[in-house]
Amino acid sequence: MSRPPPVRVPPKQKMSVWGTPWPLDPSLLRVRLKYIGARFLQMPEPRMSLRNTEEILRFAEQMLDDGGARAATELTRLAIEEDPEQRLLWLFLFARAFETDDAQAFAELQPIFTARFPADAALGEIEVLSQWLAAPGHPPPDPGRTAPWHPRALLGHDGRDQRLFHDRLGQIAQSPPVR
Amino acid sequence: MTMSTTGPSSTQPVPLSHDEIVGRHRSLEKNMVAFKPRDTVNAVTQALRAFEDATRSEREHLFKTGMFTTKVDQQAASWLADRYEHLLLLARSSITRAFGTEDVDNGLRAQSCALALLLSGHAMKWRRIAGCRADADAHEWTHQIFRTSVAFQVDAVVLQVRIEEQQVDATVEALYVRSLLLDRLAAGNVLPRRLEILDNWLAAWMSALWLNRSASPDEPTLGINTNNPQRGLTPHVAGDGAHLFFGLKPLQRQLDRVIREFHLGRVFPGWGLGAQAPVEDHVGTIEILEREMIIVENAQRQKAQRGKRVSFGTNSVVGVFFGFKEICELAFSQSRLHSMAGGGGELGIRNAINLADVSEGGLGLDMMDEDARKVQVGELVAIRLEKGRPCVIGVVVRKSGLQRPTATLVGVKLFSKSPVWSTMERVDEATNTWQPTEGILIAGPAADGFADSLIVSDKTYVANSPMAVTLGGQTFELALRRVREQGSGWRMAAFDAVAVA
Repeated sequence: MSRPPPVRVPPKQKMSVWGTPWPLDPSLLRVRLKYIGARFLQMPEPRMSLRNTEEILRFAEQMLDDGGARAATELTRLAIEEDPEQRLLWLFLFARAFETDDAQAFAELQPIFTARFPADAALGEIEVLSQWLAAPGHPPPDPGRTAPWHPRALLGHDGRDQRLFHDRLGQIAQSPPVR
Repeated sequence: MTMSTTGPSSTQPVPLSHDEIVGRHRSLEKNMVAFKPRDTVNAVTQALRAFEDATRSEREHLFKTGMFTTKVDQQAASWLADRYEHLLLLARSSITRAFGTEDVDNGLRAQSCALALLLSGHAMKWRRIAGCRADADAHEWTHQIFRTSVAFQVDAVVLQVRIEEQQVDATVEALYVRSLLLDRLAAGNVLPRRLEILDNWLAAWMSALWLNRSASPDEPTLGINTNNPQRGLTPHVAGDGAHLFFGLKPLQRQLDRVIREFHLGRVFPGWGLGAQAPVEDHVGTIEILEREMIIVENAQRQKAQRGKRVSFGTNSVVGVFFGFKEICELAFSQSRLHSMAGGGGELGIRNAINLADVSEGGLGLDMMDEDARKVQVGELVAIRLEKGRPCVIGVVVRKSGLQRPTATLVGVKLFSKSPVWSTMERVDEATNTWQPTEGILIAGPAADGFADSLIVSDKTYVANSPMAVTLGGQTFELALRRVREQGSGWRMAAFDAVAVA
């Protein structure tokens, strides 16, 4: 009796919280880490930093200040990928999706967050914002609605004086002083 | 990169000297006169393929060395730029013949336009890499080829284009957009290796490079006026005369795809000369595109400020000041405000400096070699573009030879078009006393003020140390935070501001 041809067992694959495969192959992992190191120079030890919520929020805050909103979102997603229990980072991602009027990104986050934090206090507000974004023809999102989920607010910083400084600087830049 | 009409290449790389290659191109130019339109297109296609096969290792070597700073590298880059330019001229003449004869089918017409636009992108890229000035007629030719393809309804014909030994599906329209995007993104200060990576990405994104006949109000958009020979793609604002539009959302999605690939440990697209570049260069290219998207997104806001913006043309003499000290002393001086006299006295710069090219985020200065040698990458520069207007401020990020033997292109990344010089105070830690100093304030784009920066001398900068400045009658204490940019003798830092009661 002839045996059936041998079957190759597919390699084990670990999936990330986003449903993408983890690069388990050492050469792939090396490229990933090299990329993260080059993209986020603030992190000398990316795999440690990505698990430190406060540090990630601080980096994200700095990136937002430097005009790197997309990089801030990317870093936060990487950190959640590394440790999905970092709740505050999820809230920041919701804030970003809301402010950029990205209903698709918001809808992608919502079920994963709900499954992971089923009794979370923010779920009610997330549902409200989700419906608002999904409504056709809605006005531009008001960033004030998600202000408490911003890194600066999550880290407990206030920025009134900074805004005042910026306003004054803007006025002076229109006719700058000469020496 | 070459275009294929009949599938994979059968041509093997042949080691040819530069003279042999030039000789072949010249004889092709002579013989083409007797060719039929189809043979003309095929001959130029084959010549391009043979040229790229023959120079692949040379181009690989150039991108490996990366900076194009040696004379040998610069000459090689100039030669490659010349060759692409010559092939482009041949391709343009093939268009004239393909459209000037009635018995030519539209497939061939599309091929001739695609070939010319492919070469237009190559030539433009290599001109930038070699530090040559942009061809004055380049935009007009590119627009005209596209207009012709639209008139004959061949702009959307899908063709197979061979790019770095890959067969890529592309339309005339996609190749037109690629050429204009390269032109836009390469202006100012992009490093050659990053430009090559970008071009590889654009080749892989061909399916996303399409134009709309109307602008989407919800999307950052670049506009084109194909009748304006001076302009390529520019951020669209209402009333700018654009009648074709390139929405950036598809480009953003493609960029997200590149980033996802890196998260998975793969280099996108996995082929091309750029694939061998260090990951840092790929990250740099991502940042170029992200910066570009921010610039386009801010276009509406910039339009509101247009009345205050300076107007200037390339090739004009500009006043340039180098280094923090000189900038504070001269660039913001009342006595220099209505003069185009620059500084550079301390460095020993003797000749006038011209503006070579300009984009929203950077500009190129055309300097004599002997002067450019004294200017280092990382040098803080202030540039007066127009008499009576404040200087713009930025940093030297690149130097490369210009086509003229004694000229160098100095690439400057702009920090601000309206910097504010101010006297201020700092705490001297040794004596614990307030001491007078000076700094340059840069307003950032964020309304919350956390994107604002302060440029101070490197001796003044002490992390977390307090400084004080008075703006419009209100005194603020500033705590200097992280350094955003730095160079020889200066730091540009973020800060936290607290109003003093």
